[in-house]
Amino acid sequence: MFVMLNRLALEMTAEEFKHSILVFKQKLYRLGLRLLNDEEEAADVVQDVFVKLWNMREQLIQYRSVEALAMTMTRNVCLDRLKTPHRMVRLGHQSDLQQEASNPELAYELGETTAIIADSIRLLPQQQQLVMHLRDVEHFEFEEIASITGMNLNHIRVNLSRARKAVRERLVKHHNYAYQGN
Amino acid sequence: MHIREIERLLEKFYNGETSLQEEALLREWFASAEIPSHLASLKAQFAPDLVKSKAELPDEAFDEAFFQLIDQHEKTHKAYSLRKMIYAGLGLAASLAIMLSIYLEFKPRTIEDTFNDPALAYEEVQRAMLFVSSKLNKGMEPVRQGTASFNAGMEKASDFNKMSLIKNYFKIE
Repeated sequence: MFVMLNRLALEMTAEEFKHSILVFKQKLYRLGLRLLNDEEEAADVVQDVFVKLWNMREQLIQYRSVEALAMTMTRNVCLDRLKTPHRMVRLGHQSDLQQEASNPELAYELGETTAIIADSIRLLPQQQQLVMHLRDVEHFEFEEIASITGMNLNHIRVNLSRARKAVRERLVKHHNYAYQGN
Repeated sequence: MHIREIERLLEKFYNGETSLQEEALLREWFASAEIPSHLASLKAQFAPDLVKSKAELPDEAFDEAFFQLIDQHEKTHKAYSLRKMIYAGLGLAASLAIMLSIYLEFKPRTIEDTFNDPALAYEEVQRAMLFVSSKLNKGMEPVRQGTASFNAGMEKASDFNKMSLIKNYFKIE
């Protein structure tokens, strides 16, 4: 009887966990993908983060935003993985991906301007990439971005401004080129 | 919305100073049909899903795999703690056995009084003494026999004294 009750309680929390925590999976995955540029590894990181969150599920109530916490953990796990020597080998793989994205034929398939933006974001310094991703792709508040990245608000704005201007520059250049071409 | 207002918001946007609401407004405006040509090149930057990766995790399959992983973790954890408990129990039993044997080996041996009544104790001692003496007597018997035959032998050997008597007799001669 006790075992049955125990099981029931466990299933309840699992259900709650699924509905309140696992729903962040796509956001975490996109962040992982942005930082690691590797679908398999990003998925692995997301699972890793969820296991950690599951193990601390009793303490989660203390956090103001579990979503921001999950994003912070994802960022940390990704940065850790970027540091490992095993990763250095994979970096070569990443530059292959970049070349693929710069490939004009593929760019055409993706939609030209989207590909240009994706490409210009990928060429940004990591901090600018991260801030831009969190703001312009995921629409986080600045306070949340601060807690996820550990940067102060001013630093975030500066990085965001540079990133947005860099993307604009690429877009305008492309636009002018297209006009001249016509 | 007035184009001036949009241009002001755009400037804020590129300085990283717009709020989420203002950014939503800009996206909305760029999604509308008529965009002045000098701003047309920027349209892509305000796409509703700015380079949101098309790659997605499989929703249900991911959750299922996750809970399977959790189950597995918890099972191995349980097995691990059970094994630890068995080891701890074995260790405890072993140390108890060692302590017990050390105690038995080195415990001070005191002779305890087994009788409360002195008269009874005396009787018991007497009985024990009698038993000892009876055994002693029985044990003395072969000794007595041995000495008897030894004495007999010695008697015969005393004949040699006679020989020395004779010798003396002749010496005197």
